Amino acid sequence: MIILEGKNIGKRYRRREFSVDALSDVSFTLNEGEILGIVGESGSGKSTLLRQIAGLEIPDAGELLLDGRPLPAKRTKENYRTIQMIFQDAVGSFHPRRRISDSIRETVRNLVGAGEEPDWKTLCSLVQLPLELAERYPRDLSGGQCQRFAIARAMAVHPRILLCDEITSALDVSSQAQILRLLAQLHQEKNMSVIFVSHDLAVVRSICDRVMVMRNGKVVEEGPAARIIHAPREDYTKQLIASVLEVRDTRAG
Amino acid sequence: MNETPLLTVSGLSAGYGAGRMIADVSFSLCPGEILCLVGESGCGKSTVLKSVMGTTPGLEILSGEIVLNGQDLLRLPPRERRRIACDTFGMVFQSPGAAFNPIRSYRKQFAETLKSHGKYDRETFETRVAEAFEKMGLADVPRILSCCPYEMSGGMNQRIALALALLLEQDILLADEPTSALDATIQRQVAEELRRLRDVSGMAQIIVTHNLALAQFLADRVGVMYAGRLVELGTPDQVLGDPRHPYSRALIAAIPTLRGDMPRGLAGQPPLSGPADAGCEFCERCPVRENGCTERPYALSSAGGGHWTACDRTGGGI
Repeated sequence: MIILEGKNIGKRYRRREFSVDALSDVSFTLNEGEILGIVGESGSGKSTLLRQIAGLEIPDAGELLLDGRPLPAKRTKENYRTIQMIFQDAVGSFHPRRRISDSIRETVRNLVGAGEEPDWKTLCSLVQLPLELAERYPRDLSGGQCQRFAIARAMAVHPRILLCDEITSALDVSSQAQILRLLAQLHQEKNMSVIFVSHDLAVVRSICDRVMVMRNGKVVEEGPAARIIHAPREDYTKQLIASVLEVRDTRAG
Repeated sequence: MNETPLLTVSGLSAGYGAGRMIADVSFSLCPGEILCLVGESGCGKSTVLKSVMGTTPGLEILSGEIVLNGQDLLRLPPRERRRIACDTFGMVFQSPGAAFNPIRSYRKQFAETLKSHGKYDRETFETRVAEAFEKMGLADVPRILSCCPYEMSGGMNQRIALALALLLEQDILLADEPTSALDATIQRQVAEELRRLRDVSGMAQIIVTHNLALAQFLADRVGVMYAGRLVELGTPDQVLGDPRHPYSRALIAAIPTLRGDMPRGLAGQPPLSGPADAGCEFCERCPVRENGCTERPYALSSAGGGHWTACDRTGGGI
């Protein structure tokens, strides 16, 4: 079942006489319980698209449908609660002078209810971090730990859609693997729908069901992850795949 | 390689204030060789680079030797050491803009840098820059020179920084995560450019990265660091193709591949306290640890053919 649909979305950034079409005529669907990957180079419009979906910006053209109903330009709290976004800079996405727990509590009180208290035990076990780490400041945590708390903050308001914008790009391989496993587990246990933006094709291949390739604000190609990676149709997708550096396993030949 | 090493680091320990960040780090670098140091964040890779460079305030070398062309840099007076370091080492940073002033033209900055190294000549400046740019595959020299760094993309800035390194004719390039701020296609370009830099100028390089695929692509030798110690050292085929140390194996298992397997995570974090006095630092996270692991002193042993490892326990599913 389609949970989110974008129809002919356009976004233009203007600056005096200069303007850029960051998105033009982008259409997509996201099914319930699906992980949709969006890949492309810097400047291809991946993050811009996520910002439109999250309601951080208003698209110039087209419409976004949640459960078949248009999302209003001015989002309600319920809209924000339903669609949660996680950013690349995990440490920077928390208030530097507040404890992690205060930041998460604020989100919950804003979006769920004034007197609400996050369910700390469930949240921390969900992201596999000890409870006491939530009492620290962002600077006292590693990038990977902060990113797991950012996921916890998003999950604390029980969203239906998670938007992930390069959430593992700033992390080293082991933290990245932990975050990917966590996301796969959330997706499995909670039937979460996820849009996962990354420039790393191998990361996208490892967790996404379907992949959309973007270039210069347009959709180049879209299809099941295995098909896109192993039998790309468009030249641009082939180029992207050819540029991936991989570790060869010489033992396996 | 049987050549005389250009740089030999032996038994290097260093840290900030009282804390030791790296311990007993030893390696050598031959002319034209590319050494990649890999490992998780906080394993001391950058500290090794900064210790070699020797210009980071607050970083104290506690013991060891850094021998460059037969001369121990640590025995020199600070001024002399700085002079030699600046003549010998070029640096490239993670943030592509960090090497330049964002609002000053490349022409001015190139001229300034060459002047401060005593290598500026007004007559030949433009032709030399053009030559260096051409070698690095950059076209349209006058336009680039008249631009400011803020007008260029991250990848372009990084390539221009490499062209500058080429112009300065230094012997060794020290690069700290030179590609990790760039996206995949640009990463590949910059990686190719680093290789080209070595091929055209014979510049040896020490590259710090957490990207093992980059290390495989570039390196003549790879060193894996954990908690401030070098735990495995060898050619990319040895270290990444036939890894011996449980930590190297775990790191490799954590890389996602285009085959689509879910990468295997490595639970926990490297210890922030730096290297321990006794015992293997990795044993808390190690799937194949034994009782003796907490006491065993650190030592690299040969696995044959220039492949060194601090541990070769196998099993445990990695």
